[in-house]
Amino acid sequence: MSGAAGAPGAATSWRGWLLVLALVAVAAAHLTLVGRARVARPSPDAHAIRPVPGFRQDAWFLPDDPSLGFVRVDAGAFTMGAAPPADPLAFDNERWSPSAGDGTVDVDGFLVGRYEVTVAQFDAFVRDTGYRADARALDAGGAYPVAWVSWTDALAYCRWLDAALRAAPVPPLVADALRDGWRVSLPTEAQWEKASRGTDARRYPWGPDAREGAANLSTNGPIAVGALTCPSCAHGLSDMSGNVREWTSSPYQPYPYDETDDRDTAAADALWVIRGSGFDDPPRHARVTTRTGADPGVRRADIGFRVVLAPPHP
Amino acid sequence: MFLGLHLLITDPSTSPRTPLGRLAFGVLYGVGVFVLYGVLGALGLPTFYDKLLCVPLLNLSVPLIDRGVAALGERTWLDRLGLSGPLGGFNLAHMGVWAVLFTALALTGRADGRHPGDSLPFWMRACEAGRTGACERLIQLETTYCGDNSGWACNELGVHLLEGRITSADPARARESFARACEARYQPGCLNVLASSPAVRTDPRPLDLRLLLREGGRNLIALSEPDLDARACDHGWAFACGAGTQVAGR
Repeated sequence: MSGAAGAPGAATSWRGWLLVLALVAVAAAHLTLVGRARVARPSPDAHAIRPVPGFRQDAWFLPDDPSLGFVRVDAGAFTMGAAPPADPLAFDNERWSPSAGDGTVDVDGFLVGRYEVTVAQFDAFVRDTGYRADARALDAGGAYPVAWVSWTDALAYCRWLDAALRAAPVPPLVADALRDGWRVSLPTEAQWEKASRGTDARRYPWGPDAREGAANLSTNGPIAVGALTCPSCAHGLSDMSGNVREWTSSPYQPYPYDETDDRDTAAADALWVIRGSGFDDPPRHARVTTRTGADPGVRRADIGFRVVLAPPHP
Repeated sequence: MFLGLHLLITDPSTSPRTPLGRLAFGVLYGVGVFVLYGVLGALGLPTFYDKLLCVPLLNLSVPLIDRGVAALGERTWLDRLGLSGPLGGFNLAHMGVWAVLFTALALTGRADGRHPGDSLPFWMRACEAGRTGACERLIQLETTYCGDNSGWACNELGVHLLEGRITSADPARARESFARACEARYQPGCLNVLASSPAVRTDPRPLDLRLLLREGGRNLIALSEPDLDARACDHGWAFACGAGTQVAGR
């Protein structure tokens, strides 16, 4: 009698166990998926890899030129900062000091990217590493400047490109720099301004005055890098004004510029300098001395970056 | 939580019928909590489910426990210990013991979120002292608070993952943690993204303290900074007991 009564009870109990275990498994799977979904990882197959004219698919979509798009900026001093009356359009944060509108900064030689980092280049990084990028960063065409990238995204790309360049045959200009211990990174504020301004203290990348059509300004969106030629631009660099603003590796601090105290900013607000102007800026904001501080986590349609190959940051 | 679980676990309709069965039930619950804590922690899942997941599993075990106790048959030693037969006044005595114990825990501050184990400095000190499991718990807490967007916790986690002193070294995860700290606008995290040697660390910011001192989910966003410092000091954050000085690059 007791055996006949016990068998159905046991069966019910085991069914209950299975049900609870199934619920626990579902809950665990749910929690795991929720954790992973906090930052969406773009599917590697979301975009087909397509050739980009003018860029080398076999070299991480870097520019198809003898130095993979790197341009040398020689060591030496240049004029940094601006203030009225020399530059009536200068903002207060461009003034060198209360007593001087600009200053002189000595910069070691470095290599700088001719173009802003493109969507195809950033996509190569994402595909290679599985990096969790904002999906909007990969939405535009391959030759467009990558945007919707945070400061940390930009530095992650730099670190990856540095390793990639070291692991493959590269042009002598790049190989020599790597052998000398230079690293791929974001430009410091001084490197960026020197690359854009040259040594003649110009106000705009192409010369002393604003010029219509010289850059992608006052428009609704970015255009492919290098689409506008600028023969008069310092070092032949493209889009130092217009298209997208660019992250630098400098914390936002008042002038005079001194990169030796960058690591003393631990107690400061996390703001990092972006340089250049965006596609939505008016031409008068295309000045090479314009500087802004941005939240390192911000991802916007008008902020991208370019890279340098330079001696390590102090 | 403690009281709720006590009532849930001691519900007569879902508990074994004999005192011995209930004793086994309680032992299994205690063991189950520890086992689940370890399993959930190892799987990277929230460990606070350890106390709840046991309940339905044990409720389903009640028929098994009752059959097991019945299979022991008549045992005089069970009779002598009062662990067989009807429950009688045993339930009342049991509840009385627990009521006294719970009251004692509550009065000594060990039944709420203010017990020492709720404070990160406690685990930091325990880890430094080499206490068993303390470093694992510290990493677990830092991971949890980092997930809640405490830049300070992300940075500390990154430093530990980089150093490999109290947990396995994992430079890739360390960089991810520094990046997350940076995106939470914690400047030392940004500096460590740029160059992590030597690692930059500071004391938690007020924003971090509002996350680290929640004591089981209390919202501290509106708490004034002096009150926040007082609470931090109470939790063992030495910097908050004085002038709140910041230490960079320690």
